[in-house]
Amino acid sequence: PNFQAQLSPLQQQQLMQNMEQMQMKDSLTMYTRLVDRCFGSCVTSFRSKSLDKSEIACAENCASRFLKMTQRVGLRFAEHQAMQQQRATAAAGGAAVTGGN
Amino acid sequence: DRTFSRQTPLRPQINRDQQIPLTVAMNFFGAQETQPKGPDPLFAATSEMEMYADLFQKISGTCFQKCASRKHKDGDLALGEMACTDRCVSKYMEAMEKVGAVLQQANEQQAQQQQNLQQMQQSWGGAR
Repeated sequence: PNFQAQLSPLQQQQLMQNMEQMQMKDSLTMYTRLVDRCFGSCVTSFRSKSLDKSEIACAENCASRFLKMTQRVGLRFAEHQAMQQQRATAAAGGAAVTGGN
Repeated sequence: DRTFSRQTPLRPQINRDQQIPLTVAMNFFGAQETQPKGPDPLFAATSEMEMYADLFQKISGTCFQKCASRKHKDGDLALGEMACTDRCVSKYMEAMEKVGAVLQQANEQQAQQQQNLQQMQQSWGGAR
């Protein structure tokens, strides 16, 4: 938000590109992180080489729940950011143009 | 005025307050810019975006750890878990503001100390 506004159009394009690259890298690391998390909470015994039914169900549920929680956090996060921006523009003297940052 | 409670939380401090007087002075005297310029704005913007992505990841992880039962008996979040998530995010953001305020104060103190030191050094230099 604050730094972004100071960039030239070309730089903004470059920023978007950087963001895309970052998102791609992020989705890969998110995958391994999620696996690690769900393995950690679901798989606790090693009597067998393969997962038993309850472990599979747990892992699938874990992944599903984490994704749903991520969505929810995203909503709240965006709400909070919007509220903060509103507060900032209001504090800066309401006559400022709203929208666009 | 840079109070953290008004701006985006945890805006990275780049000690602009110290660099601005120097570049202004140099431009005024038409000096060659032999000193390195301030941080690249594209880098700053990219870093800020990365910070938000990292922050989002951290909140998701922490709130999942604190709110979601590890039994994972169902594929959906329970009502209580969803309410917990909302409160978790809200508290996290508030904690960020508070911590950010402390951090900013420390930064200002440090900048003030450095300024005092510079002034002292200048006055010693003048006395010689």
